[in-house]
Amino acid sequence: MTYQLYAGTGSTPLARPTNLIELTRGINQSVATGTALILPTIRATNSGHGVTVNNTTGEITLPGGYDYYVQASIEINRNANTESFRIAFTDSGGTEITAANGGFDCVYEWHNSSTTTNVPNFTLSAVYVSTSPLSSIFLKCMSMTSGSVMTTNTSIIIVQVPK
Amino acid sequence: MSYFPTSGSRSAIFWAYNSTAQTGVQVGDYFEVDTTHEITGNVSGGVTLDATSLVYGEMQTSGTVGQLDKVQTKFTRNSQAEGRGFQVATNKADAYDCDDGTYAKSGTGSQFLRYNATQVSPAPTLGSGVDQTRIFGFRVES
Repeated sequence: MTYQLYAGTGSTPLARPTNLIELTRGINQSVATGTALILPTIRATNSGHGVTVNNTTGEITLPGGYDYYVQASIEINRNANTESFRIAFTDSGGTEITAANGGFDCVYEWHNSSTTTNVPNFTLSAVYVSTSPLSSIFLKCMSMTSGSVMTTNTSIIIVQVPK
Repeated sequence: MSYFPTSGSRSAIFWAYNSTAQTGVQVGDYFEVDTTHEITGNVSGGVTLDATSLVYGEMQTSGTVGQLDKVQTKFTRNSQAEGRGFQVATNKADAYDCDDGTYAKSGTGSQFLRYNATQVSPAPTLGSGVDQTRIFGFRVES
């Protein structure tokens, strides 16, 4: 028995497989407001998925003919215990993709008045999901002071479903 | 190979969210989702699964220190709390965070799925609540 994501009207097998694509980075990256997170290392369950990452700008290209679910799992070493931050997917012009267009940010807001030390980092999740996807997206820091670092535990999983 | 029935042509990917903040969340409340894509929803929150699906949900809570700093959630199937694939975690030190859970539905036919608040401690005060609830899912064929 095989398992695959269901798509279509219910009787025709998919002509192409669903692809799972992983984006990671081998070294930490310094980040601040406006920085694009760059995850250039690609692994995938099938070849020919066509997803690319610009190693300089962080641009992620999404070939047409597919529906996409893109989930980023993000770990940040904050530059201070009191630091808050927000990360979201943007379009090629740097404009945040709204929920109405399938963009869902992640937010860490520091609230505690006491100092917290020696605790594991949290991970947060940002999502871009669409059945009429943009051809180019970025994962960007929308607010974060300089001195913070995105760790190598950060990754993006792309579920690419043929139409 | 067989496929589960759907109501028309839909993507394997579906999602839902609430477009406005939900305030004053109490124990037992449903987290509202008023906007749905590729799936049928309900004004009181939740989505109707029309095929075997894996469903993942998360929310962003809001409030100051001491408000909504401990939240537990469960997906419910119809009115019954669903224990399978359940996970929650909020950081008490950081009141604004995401809480998440997963649900895997087996079998066929439509069932109502809600993202349900089962514990909110301490009780939220005015101004606290859920900024955004999100539900993401994948229909699978077996």
